[in-house]
Amino acid sequence: MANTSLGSKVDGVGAAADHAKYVYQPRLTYLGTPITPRPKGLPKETQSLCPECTAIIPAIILEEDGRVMMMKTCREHGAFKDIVYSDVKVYLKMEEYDFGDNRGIMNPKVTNAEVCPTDCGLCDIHTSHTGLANIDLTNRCNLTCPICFANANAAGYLYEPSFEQILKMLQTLRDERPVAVRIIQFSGGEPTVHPRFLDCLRAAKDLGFSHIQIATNGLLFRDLEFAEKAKEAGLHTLYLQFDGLTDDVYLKTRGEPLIEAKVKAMENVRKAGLKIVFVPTIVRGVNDHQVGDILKFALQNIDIMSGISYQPVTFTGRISARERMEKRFTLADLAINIEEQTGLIRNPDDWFPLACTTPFSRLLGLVRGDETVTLSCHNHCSLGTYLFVDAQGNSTPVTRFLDVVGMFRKMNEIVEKSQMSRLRIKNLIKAQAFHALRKYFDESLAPEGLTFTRFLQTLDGFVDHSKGRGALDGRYTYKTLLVAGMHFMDSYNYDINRVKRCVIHYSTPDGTIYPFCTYNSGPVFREKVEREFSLSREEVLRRAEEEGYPKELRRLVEKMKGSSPCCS
Amino acid sequence: MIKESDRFAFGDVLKNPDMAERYEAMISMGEAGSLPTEELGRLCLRDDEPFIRKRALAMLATRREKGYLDILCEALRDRDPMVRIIAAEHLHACALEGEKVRLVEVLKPLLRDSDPGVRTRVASLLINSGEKGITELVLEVFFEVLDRGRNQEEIDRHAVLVALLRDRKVPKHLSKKLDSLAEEKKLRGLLALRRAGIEAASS
Repeated sequence: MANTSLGSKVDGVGAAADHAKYVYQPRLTYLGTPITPRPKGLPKETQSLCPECTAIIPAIILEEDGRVMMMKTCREHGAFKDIVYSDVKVYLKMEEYDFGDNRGIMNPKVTNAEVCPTDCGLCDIHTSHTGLANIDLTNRCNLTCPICFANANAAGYLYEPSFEQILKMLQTLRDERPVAVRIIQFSGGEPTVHPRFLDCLRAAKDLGFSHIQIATNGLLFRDLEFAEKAKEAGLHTLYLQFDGLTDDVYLKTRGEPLIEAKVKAMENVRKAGLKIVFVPTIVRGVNDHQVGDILKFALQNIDIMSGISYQPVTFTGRISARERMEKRFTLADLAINIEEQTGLIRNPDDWFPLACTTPFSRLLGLVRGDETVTLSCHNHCSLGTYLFVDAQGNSTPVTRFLDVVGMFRKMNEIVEKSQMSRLRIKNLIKAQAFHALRKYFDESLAPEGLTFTRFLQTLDGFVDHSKGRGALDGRYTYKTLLVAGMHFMDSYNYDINRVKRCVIHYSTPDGTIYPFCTYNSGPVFREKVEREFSLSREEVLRRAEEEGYPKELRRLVEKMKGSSPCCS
Repeated sequence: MIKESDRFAFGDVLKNPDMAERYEAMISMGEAGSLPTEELGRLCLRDDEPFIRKRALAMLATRREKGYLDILCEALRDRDPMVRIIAAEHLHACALEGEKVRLVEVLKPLLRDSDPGVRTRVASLLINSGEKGITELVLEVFFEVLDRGRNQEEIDRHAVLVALLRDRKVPKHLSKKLDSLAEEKKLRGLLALRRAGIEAASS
């Protein structure tokens, strides 16, 4: 395999200016709010939050000793400084491949928002529609992780929406326009402990979600029958909490040894015909030395794996600056560590921001005649690449045989020209897209057995669930593994420019849709929502009795029994 | 022949206070096909919960029987904006599949809907339908808003509908309408169009 990266062809002096002509930047959201394009280069100004009082304050992002830092000062609480990216090269590469914003949604709940992130829900300032939606089924969990303050036992209340509320939350997502949400993730707490978990999966299927996944610790999947029932009810993928390959890591992050349970769950997932995405939460000094081993382990299990989503830790609550700097892990660290530990993915050549795929979505929308799911998030929220895995288990990053940037630029150009034209001939657009792909695909550099036709079939599998990834014993589509990093924000590195473009959202019982980083950080709407919709003391006690006092409710029940009804 | 007992049973189920149960009953009734589309549709569209009304439209779309188009046209007047959007989308789908729907005529009033989401969605459906005269129609609504002297925010929101059109320019013959407006209204209109990235030739 040639050690070149077609993706790097476009790097170099003047590349940014050259790229600007391929950016399609709308001026207004669907409801007419002006969109300010993403600022480029360093230093740059943005808006952030004070980690102490969450007031909106100005911030500067700048380079310091090869790293990208955020600096801000709250009049009341002083100065704060944090690392945004530990390598300026990766940071600048990610922002260079920007293809422009989207226009938000046509029917936001908040139609006259003035301030982001407080006027939330979605609002008419937001520029992206939902790519992946979360619904928290419960805040109870069958683990008691030392780092978690969100589960029912620790929080002191039980948030567990009724089936009727869940139906309405699902419908809110299907109501989003112009693109009805298609990918749903049930989360928690631990979603599998919800009394009507299987009904929720069925309902999501009935309401038209084409991809259903759960964010889970996997413990209940040690039972094969449970895995089979979940599959039958409509589940496709487990977003499996997977912090490492040794129990010393789990003892630190989850409070108990879990690797055996994870492996057992994987066996059952294989038997049941489900898929897995590993979700390792990475903390420097705890498990950053295992990011490479996690990737290798995923490749060894490629028959059931569709991706890895590494998530650098976010800090909630008070933490000293020293401890934060020691533990802070950024997407640049991920890119560096993966190269050092595996040699499989080169930094920064093989990495791209998730938003890089927007031209492909626009083209697909043009062919289909209506907008389609477009991941127009901020370029610094994520990075990723696809590995193509041959029959011997050898993997090749997509950038080695495909000029990714060249192809996406061409796609955006086709879209732009067709938008301007009165005649939109679908077959002509398809032919142009075909030629663009052909031109930028180099079969001589592709892994064994990956012909151009098979490459097209693999892309088809990405958008059409029935074709799958590496399904039919890999005869139609080639086996692939998405390796990605998603860095959710905390109050120390909060960037409002990123929040406005978020594509990972939460649907809540009051009919609101929140971006991930307003729900879990920043204004933390989670707390408000969960308290408002938590179950009464009587309901919790009744439910606990009916279920035989499960461990995940025991402490909460003890607390509630110890308190008088009026204090609950 | 429809059994009277079915009708009563369904009526009872629709009174069930539990929405999830009403939903499940509605799906079962839809699958069983014991009530004609029109009757089933009207019963469901009377439900207080928008969820039931939206799902009813989705369920009826799978049956596509006589009376379906009438039900959709009725749903265009629903009190919930999202029900109106879903009904418009189903009508658009029917038109694309060759059913006899006078799409422009039935959807036209929704370009003046009080809800901005309905207006925007309906404009995008009409534009994608490829029917003739949509540019004129969208601009007509825009000029109407200008003429009524609404506030700038409302004018900007309607200019967004114009921005959905493929043309980046207001056709000359329609620019004349802009010229016929009072100076202040004309300037406000030009400002809104410019913000939306649309050129308008005006004296």
